[in-house]
Amino acid sequence: MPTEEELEQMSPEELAAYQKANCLFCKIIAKEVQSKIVYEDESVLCILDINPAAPGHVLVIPKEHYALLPQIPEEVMAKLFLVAQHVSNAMLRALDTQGTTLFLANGAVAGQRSPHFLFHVIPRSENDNILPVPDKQLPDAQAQEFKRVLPALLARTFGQPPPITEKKMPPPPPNTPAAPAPKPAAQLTDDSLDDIAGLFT
Amino acid sequence: MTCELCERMKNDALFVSDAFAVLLPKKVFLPGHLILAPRKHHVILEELSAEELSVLFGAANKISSLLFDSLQAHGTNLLVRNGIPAGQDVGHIVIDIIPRWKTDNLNLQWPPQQLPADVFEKSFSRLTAELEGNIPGHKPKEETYVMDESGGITTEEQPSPEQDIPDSQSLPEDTPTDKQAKNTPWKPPQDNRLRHLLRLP
Repeated sequence: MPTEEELEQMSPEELAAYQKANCLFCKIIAKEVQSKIVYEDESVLCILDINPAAPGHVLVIPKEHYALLPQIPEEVMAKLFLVAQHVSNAMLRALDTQGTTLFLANGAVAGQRSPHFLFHVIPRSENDNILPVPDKQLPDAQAQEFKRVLPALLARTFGQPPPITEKKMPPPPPNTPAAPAPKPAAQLTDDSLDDIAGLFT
Repeated sequence: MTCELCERMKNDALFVSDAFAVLLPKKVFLPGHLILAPRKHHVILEELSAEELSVLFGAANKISSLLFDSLQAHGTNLLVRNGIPAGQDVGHIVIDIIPRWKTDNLNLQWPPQQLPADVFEKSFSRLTAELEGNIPGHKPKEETYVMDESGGITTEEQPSPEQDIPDSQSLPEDTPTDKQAKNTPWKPPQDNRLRHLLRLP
């Protein structure tokens, strides 16, 4: 067992290797630690949570060790969510439940408890108090700020122009210079990022 | 019956692609909370095809990363509230994407339980039986409910795919045969999912 100091001095790669070697879920996947397996294939393992929120609470686990969702390759992610859908479907069919929750946490502050990325599928019943529902009204100023900044950020992420919600301009007649481009809804500057980050500091 | 969310996608979205739309939710857990919805009207998770699932959660992951960066979040949660008991509040399936900060005072943790052994075993045997032979290769199981054009729901004990599922696009081209269902020893109640579908606003 390395000391805390040794852990701190490890490179990110060493730390990852250390976490992997000591990962409970990797041991469960290797069948070195016993678990209740409800589904298994070449890349995904589903087990019952031993401290469930409700009977039938399932953990969907990629067999490869990843710490966070963004590290997971696309095809593995597609498989994980497909299995999650099957698990949810199975709960609706086989358990006395009328709803399911998929819960994912990226990062300890979000409630991630294990260094091996996994997510929860939880059968739900009325008034089970497992998770709250959103209940806050976003202040108008913040909503406006998000509407100003996020379309351009999302467009940059997904590689498409922002949606045009204003009245469409008729196409310019031939042989006339194009009209000056309308001012974009949001300029992507560091300022706008600072603005939006400033909302939370 | 018009869907509130389908309407909002037309002029109140932050971003719209062919496959999905990103919007500000009406009620939020925290500022920066976004919702991601498939463009095609689907009520519950089980209706999404494998491809739709893959695209949707791939996008959710990218948006989650965007929130990390632009809002300097310390973590993110992805949440699917599937059905009324899970807190679904609009009749169109959405993924909640929630940025988290160390000091956000949001508690999304459920109290862990120790279940009596027989309850645990029962949920285990029912789920494994339901998932057995249902290999994600990977088609959703045959639907036991359908929604007609007007939003009403009809159901039959043994739906024949052609007659009872008008919205064939939401299903893969070849659905698994009834053989698997017949081999399942425990027959699930047919109306489990109907109960919550009917009550969606």
